[in-house]
Amino acid sequence: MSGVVVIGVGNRYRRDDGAGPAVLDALATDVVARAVRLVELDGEPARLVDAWAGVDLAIVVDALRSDRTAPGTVRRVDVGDDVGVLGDSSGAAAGSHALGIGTAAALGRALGRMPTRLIVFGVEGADFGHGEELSQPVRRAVTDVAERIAAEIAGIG
Amino acid sequence: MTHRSPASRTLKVDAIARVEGEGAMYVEIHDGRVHDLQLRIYEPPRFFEAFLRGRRFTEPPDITARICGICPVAYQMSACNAIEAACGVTVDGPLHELRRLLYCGEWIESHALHVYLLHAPDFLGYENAIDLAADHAAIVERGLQLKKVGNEILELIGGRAIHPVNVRVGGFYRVPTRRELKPLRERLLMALEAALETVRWVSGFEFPEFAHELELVALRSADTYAVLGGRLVSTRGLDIAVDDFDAHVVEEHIAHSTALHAHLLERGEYLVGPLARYALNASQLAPEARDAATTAGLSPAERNPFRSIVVRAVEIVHACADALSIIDAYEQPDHPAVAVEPRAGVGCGWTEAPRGTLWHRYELAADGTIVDARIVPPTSQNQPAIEHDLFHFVEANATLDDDALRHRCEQLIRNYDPCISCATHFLDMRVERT
Repeated sequence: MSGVVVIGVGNRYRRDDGAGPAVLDALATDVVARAVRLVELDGEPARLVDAWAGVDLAIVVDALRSDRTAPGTVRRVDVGDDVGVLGDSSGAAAGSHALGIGTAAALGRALGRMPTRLIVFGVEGADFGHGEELSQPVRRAVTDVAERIAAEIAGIG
Repeated sequence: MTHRSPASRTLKVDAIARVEGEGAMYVEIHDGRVHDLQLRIYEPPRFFEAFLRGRRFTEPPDITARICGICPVAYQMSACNAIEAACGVTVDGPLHELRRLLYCGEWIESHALHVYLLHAPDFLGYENAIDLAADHAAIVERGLQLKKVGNEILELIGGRAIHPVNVRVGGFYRVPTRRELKPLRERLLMALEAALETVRWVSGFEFPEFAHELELVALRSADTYAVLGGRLVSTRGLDIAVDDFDAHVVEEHIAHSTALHAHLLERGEYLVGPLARYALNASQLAPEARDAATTAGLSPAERNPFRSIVVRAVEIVHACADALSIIDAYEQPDHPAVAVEPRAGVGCGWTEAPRGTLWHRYELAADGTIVDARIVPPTSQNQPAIEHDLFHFVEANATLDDDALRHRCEQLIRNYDPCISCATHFLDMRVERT
């Protein structure tokens, strides 16, 4: 498999956790995105590995809750050989419900099922309560991330 | 964190790893005897039963599916059974077979996840599946491929892999054509081989010496390894119908758990799940699974919970073989669902979730409004049994040092594949020794 995949991770019914899927919605209307695969996932590691294995470029968008930066702050990580940049990837820290992209990247690395290039966008959320509406700062960040992804893809074309 | 003094110790695990959800364990040991032991479930209660009240009788399959991302089909099927019983409707024929096929997908996915990613690292000395994958990539890859086939069944029959959307009271919104099932057949043939290899692999593990004398409880039906219904039977003569469950099972609130503890009235703790199903219904497994179990050295008299991983692998073989039989015999039904009209009444339904028997009860008003709902998931039934096993295991192994004992206790808990999120209405382990 080759090409580009954009993976939106999150739950649309938990407000800002839906930032990843919202970026997919924004890209779905973009001409640039027609040549790329858009995949919405819940963040379960095996499915993430399946979605990105063997592609040239995989871009993952997920919401963050660091409580260290202002809501709507976007963090972009170009994951090289060190998947540790994605935080705890041991997968042993907690139950299966707390596994994330770091775990998926470590699993993908161990299995030899990584994309050639992996970029992760994290969007700091404000409200992870029940509901479908994104907070205003995250709505703005979603537009920004979609534009940056479109530019990123145009850049490799 | 661990405290130790010559005569007493406390072991605690604040967040038990490789289980579904969040829980803890606390053990206090005085002079080699267990003084206090708690499997603590601290996930917040979720109130599903309360917010089902006032909803339409058609909604529980979609609402209760949300209880669990690993076993949503179990919730959907138990809910459908219960509501259809309340409305006097029976779903049989190809629709019933499609439900079993969907359920096979869930068993394959859930069991493959547990065997490969959550439980096998315990037996092979790895901290987690990623470390296991670093040394044995092909093995972990096999587990992920099995899990994927389970997902594919859910996607095709259920509309998507998590919280399927194609299930309704009375059947489905859309049923597949024979032609649509054909690619699944090829994938299942591959999965069956991978499942047989899984049995050979896990049966070679070293298992700690331990056996329990718990009452084992599972559904039994006349013609198949029970999944979608039957009577509830046990190794000590229990034999009840679905409507009698709440007359025999009592649930009580325990201070250290947001999950209710279940007991059989005047009999005490009991165990549901793969070991119980195998003990009671082994002769009904698909021939491939029966042969694999025999070759692996299993017998229905197996009472070592550490060998549940072998039973789970055997059940993957069964689910693959059963799914293939269903596909081969499938004739597309004329209608995707049977009509279900509401009526005032009470209906109960149960099925065998990957972790054990899951019981639902609904009381409906004449217009189909849900007046009352009760859900008894397998992990809340197993919680007293897990504590019972831990008590005896810790007393038998009190000479182990704290780290070794704590590791074995966590492994023992994982024998039961507890689904804490399902049970909260749970693991952090602490052991205190004096």
